[in-house]
Amino acid sequence: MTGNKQTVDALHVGNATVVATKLSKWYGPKVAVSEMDCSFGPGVTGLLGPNGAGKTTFLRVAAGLLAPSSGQVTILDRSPRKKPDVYRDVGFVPEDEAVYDHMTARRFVSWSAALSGTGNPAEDANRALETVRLTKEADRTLATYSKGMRQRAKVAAALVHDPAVLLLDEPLNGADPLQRARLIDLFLDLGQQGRTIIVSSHVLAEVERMAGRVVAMVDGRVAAAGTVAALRDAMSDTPRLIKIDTDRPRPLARELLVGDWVEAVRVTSESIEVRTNDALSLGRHIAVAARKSDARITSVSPEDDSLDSVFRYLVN
Amino acid sequence: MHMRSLLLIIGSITGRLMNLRRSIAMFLLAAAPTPLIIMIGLGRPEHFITERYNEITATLGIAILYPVVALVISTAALGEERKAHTLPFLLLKPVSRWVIALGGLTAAAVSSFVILEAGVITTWVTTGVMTGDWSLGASTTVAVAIQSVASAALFVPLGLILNRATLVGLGYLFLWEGILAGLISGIQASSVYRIVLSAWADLADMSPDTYDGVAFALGRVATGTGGAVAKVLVMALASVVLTGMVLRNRDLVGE
Repeated sequence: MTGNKQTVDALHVGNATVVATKLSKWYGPKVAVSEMDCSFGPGVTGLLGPNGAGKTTFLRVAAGLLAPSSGQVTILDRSPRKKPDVYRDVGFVPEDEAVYDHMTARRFVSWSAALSGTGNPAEDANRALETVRLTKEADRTLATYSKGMRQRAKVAAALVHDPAVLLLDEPLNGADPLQRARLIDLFLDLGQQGRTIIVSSHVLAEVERMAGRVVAMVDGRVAAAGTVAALRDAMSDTPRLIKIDTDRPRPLARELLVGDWVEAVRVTSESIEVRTNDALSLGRHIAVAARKSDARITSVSPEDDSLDSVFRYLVN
Repeated sequence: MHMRSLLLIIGSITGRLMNLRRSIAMFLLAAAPTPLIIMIGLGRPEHFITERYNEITATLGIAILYPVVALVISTAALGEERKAHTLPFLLLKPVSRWVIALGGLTAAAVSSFVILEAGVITTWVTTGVMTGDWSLGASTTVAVAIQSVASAALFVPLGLILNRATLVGLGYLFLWEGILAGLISGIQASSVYRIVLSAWADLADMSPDTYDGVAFALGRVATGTGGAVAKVLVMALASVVLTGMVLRNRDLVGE
């Protein structure tokens, strides 16, 4: 996983390349993004939220496709709507499946390269197509492509001019598991190269795998930001589920129930699951309880330290 | 860089506009005078066929068929990009919005002209074979060129702004061009139909009777190719400015 090296606070990073300042976007009475104050820097940042949370709207405003209702977004200190030159440094993969059906993938990507002003569009297109592994099918028209292949063609077109900032709206949609894994590796690699990658996705496990930092949006607002672990730690008052593998689950459970930090215990033949509201105290007490119950502990692991659990908590 | 970007944009939009299905449908519409000329002219003297060609061109081609074909193509130039959600691929490039606007207008004008001219040539060749007069289509070629630019100037920005631009455009052709400009002489100078007709009438070789009919349709607009060209160039310039402003300032994708 990659992360931003300089973090000012949860919402802002020190070496920011994409900055939203009091950004709001509304359509009539409907507020899509509300007072968003957040920045993004090098590395992969996952933009997370349920449908209607404002992720796509934010990415479209950031890309300059939509005008902010108030506030602003800058990319590399420039506003895309005022300075189209910034698109030399920006790649965007829209959520929509649409592509130019009449073009071949090679033509589409080299056309993007040429319009972006790269030195050698044909060569750059070949490189980008190779990166997303579409070389063999590159001379077929996009109309004949599957959804996943179209996504990869769009990613190639977004990458072809070697941008410093990539805005990816659900880029893994339609890709098969192998291609998803490859695209995730690609985004990780690009992030490690120092590019700013903002990825929106509803596939939590994938965001967790690729994003060093997560910005969670709910109802148009930033509900939380930070690493998955940091978000989880910040929710110290939230019950956590800890699994303890042991050879004597029942005696150990009895000892653990002594502490008032344990809310519930579920015992199985070789393990116990402890729901606690104070993981640190539980951690300190486990060794004592094991000694008293003469139990041998083989592993202790958090069961719900996933992005899914963080996200469910935020949404609820 | 600007010229290269312009050519790339024109190429991509033209490629989409001139897809096979639309090209065939629009060509058939543009070439609709051909069977009429054949039906009316078979077994008739050459001068009769020549006059029918002129009448059909003025009353059917320039008045209805050519504007409708150019309308359909022009509204699709950028409007189809917006509806198909492919506009981001065009907009998110380090290219001036004016260049994109000029590219859209040029692509619409070129596509309209190519398809219309294919229809004009079909009718031209048919009439030429029947009469031996091969000069008839030249004035119509100039007319469809002016029509193509004028329609692109009007309908490319309309297609970008409105979802039902073709329907609105048809309403405009019927109400403004067909009825209001005929009744109100003060607005005739702004009528695209009359601008195109004035250039065609300036170049076409027609009988006094046919000319009288054309002059009646023109109303206060004088015949002249130079004036018509100047008017559509001003329209094109204004259209590029308007389209550029729309591209800069409006939200062109949905929520």
